[in-house]
Amino acid sequence: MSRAKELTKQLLRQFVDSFDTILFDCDGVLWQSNDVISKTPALIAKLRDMGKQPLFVTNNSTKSRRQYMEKFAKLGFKVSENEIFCTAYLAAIYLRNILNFQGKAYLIGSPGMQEEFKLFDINYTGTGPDPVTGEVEDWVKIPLDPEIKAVVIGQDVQFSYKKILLAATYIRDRTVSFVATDHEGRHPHQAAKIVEPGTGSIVSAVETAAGRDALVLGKPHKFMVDLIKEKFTLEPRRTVMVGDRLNTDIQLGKNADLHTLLVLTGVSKLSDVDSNLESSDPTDRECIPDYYIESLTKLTEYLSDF
Amino acid sequence: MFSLKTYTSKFANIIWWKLFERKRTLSARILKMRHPEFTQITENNVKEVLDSVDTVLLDCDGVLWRGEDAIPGSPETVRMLRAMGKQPVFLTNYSILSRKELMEKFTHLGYDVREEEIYSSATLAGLYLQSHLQTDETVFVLGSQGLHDEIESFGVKVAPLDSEDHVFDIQSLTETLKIDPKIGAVVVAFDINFNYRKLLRAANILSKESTHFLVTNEDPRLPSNDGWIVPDCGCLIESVIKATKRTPTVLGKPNKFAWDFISKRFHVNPERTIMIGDSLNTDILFGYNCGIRRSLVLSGISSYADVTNRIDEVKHHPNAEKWIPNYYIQSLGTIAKCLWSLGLYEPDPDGDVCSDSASDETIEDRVDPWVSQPGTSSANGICHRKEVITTV
Repeated sequence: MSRAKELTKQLLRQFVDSFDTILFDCDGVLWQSNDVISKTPALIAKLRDMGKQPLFVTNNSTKSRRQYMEKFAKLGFKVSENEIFCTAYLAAIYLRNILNFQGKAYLIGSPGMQEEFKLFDINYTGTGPDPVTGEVEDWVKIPLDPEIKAVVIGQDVQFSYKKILLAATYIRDRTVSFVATDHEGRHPHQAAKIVEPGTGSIVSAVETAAGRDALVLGKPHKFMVDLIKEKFTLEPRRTVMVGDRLNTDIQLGKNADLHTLLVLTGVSKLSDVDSNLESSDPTDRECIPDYYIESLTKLTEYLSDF
Repeated sequence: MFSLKTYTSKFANIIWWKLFERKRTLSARILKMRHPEFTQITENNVKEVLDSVDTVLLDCDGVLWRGEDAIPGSPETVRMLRAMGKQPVFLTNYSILSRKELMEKFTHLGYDVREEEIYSSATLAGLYLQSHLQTDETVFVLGSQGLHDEIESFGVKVAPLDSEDHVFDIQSLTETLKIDPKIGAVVVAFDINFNYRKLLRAANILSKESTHFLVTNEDPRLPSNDGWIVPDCGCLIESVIKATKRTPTVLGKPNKFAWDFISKRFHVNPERTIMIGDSLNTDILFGYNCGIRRSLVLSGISSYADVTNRIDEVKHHPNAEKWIPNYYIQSLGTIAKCLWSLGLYEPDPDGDVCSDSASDETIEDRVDPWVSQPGTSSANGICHRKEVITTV
């Protein structure tokens, strides 16, 4: 149970020599909302020059890989689409390759997820606004769609009571798969001082209604790392996970036996690391990053002399 | 005409019946030894139980009515309790209707009730807010118009229900989100208009730690038929909790918030009070939390088997005791039936205490026949039996 070490210039050589592959979370690490964190595009370029393989792993399910490419480009990053592992893509791959999915999915998710589902030829329904007309007594008379064999939940700003009712009723049948992109409850936007409810707040409602837990594909679960291993060489002990959230990014590192670096430009603070150290929950006590750094801007500056 | 086959068959039947009775008696005896408190209310003890109480707290759904229909015998029992000098108080987690609207329902279903005897979770919200908010503070309500009206009837200002079209882009919404600083509380209740936009507003209002976070009840689902799941307040609460990382104050059962108001209003003696309900998780646990006796009716959510499971659990988890009622009875109407058959009560000839429609049809579906209660009949209910089969 060691304390996290601050990644200083002195520790830089040790850090750089410890990995070949570097996984980056995106929100709160490379950018905050639509604002790039200073010098991070240069960091990615430098790491490539040093022979490192950067990969991008995000729980944000609102964008497809193509849409992420657009965002990366807009913010000045040079990235290939096959280096992006977002949960919209994960959900589609899971249904297509793991479940070998036939039938229809009841999808609570954004246009980004819909795009990935179309790319993988997965039939879906339920997206978009579901206007509330009539009463519950009317809704429960409409016949259920017998083709629905999976309920998939991601971030959805059109989320509503009616969608909880439908999703929970479908997953009453245990042969219907129940999958979620992630379980993050909230996303604080520091600049705007606003909290955005996350997928976790949507999934919890459906789980409570149905008395059944979702299979979560995103961090901290290892599915993302397993998927990466199919496309890239990834040696866990030669890989570092860089993120801003203890319970997703750093926890993924622990689950997949990766090195971990916490950046302080996002959700988790050093006080959260201290809370984990003192927690009565053994999982929390183990969830301590190997290193922490104020921001990736600082890391870029350190590496400029490398 | 005598035949060996007939004689053997009749003999076999007698042996079988005797074995059945022995096993039934033995099982019931074992059950009573394991938990002497879990007693059926029958003609043998109904007078003793009623003489020991002055105040009767009654749940509504599953006790007085199911959906829009009165449960047979329940209106009669409420009238009878009042005639015997008992004070009925109606305590429901239902938040959709205001007290005025609930009164209309009670009246329509044949119940003799006064408005001040009704405590719904909407009323509890009004009571809480009246005593905790400043006069210029308002409340953001995720719930029905009935809840909105009930809160306003306590003189508390409610922010208008958000009924705007919720087709929007998250980016523009977060830029234009304005939180009224006068909002001092958020109430989360059953709300078929719940959506992401309301969740976003609630989450941001609750960022201020001093803002009260209230919920009417934690039930995850409403009762429903045909395989549909109808989410109740409990699901919406989980959403808001996940988005805020805050713990709400729960107003409804099993939280004992209502008890303070009821016990003061009716000068209640806890030792002479009983809670009668159909749910172990809300009604029976509420009774335990308030330190009063509690009786389960088997005409609603929880079954006899649910209780026996809890009794089995007590061995390993003593805490399970909280969910075990002192008494059980098929339905509220059975109380009036028992008193009638003892000659202690004359039912209303227009009532339905002993009509065929008042038979306890639910019991057969729910009861394990090998651990059957004494005195049950599959035919016409207790009042038509010549004798009551007792066990111990």
